[in-house]
Amino acid sequence: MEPIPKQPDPGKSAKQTMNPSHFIEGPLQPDWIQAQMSLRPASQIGALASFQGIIRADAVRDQKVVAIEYSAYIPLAERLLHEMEQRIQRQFGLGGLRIWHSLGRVPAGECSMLVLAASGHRAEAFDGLRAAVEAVKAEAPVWKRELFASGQYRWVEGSSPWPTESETLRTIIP
Amino acid sequence: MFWKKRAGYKTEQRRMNVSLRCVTFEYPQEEYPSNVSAAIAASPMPITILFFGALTELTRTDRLLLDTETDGISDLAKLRMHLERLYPGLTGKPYRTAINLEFAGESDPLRDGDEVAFLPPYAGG
Repeated sequence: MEPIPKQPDPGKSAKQTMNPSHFIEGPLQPDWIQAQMSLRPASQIGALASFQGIIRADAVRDQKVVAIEYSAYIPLAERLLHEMEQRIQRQFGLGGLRIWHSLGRVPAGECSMLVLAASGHRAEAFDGLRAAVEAVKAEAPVWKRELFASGQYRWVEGSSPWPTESETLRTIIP
Repeated sequence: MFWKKRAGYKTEQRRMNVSLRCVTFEYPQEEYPSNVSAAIAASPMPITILFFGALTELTRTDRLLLDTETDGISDLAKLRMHLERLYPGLTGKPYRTAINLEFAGESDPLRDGDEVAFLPPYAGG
């Protein structure tokens, strides 16, 4: 059984940000989630839409996933998530949008991602929420491994499409 | 002796709510001998290469330091070729790169002290 390597360091360019962090170590706890959902942005809100990403106990080759372990390029991810919130908020006319994501180990059945979208009317909240969830999956430098009861693990292959203007794009995925 | 933790380390740890596994200690420079200060000022800083996700399985590390002069690395293209010689499994793998937190192209130059991240396809959420 191979020991699980430690999480990558955040990098020497990690610096303090005036914006609250988007990352929480471990699973997002139910009482913490409830507390976030009770907050209201400082504008007239008629709808609050929420998404919670829950870890599924998938079966992979007769082994059951017992947890997911997340890692991220934290300083870049913080900046991109903040820009994503601002962009989607403007695009859908939201009163507020907030994204949180777990780092480290999250057991099956627990929450690893929370997105809250607030707007004056429900249509914008639904649309903005969906756009934010899809944007996190496509644009946030976050990676995950499935952990099995046997102690083995498997990296989940990312499906995010790279922008075609990237000069370092490699398209071969064996 | 005269080591002190990087200012703001504890605050940064609480704010990010994750465990920082790297602590930087700073030796007050006014206490360096003059010949040591000159040597440090003249010596090039290595570039830091960061690997993420499944790439760490190929490289067996999440971090590498390289000297741009010794290793003949002046831009991202040369760095990529150097790494693919070190880690043949990297060839053909999809990834994008960022230099100092900005997405980078093949012709982007590398300078002493840069941080270059190799980012495989994202799998968040």
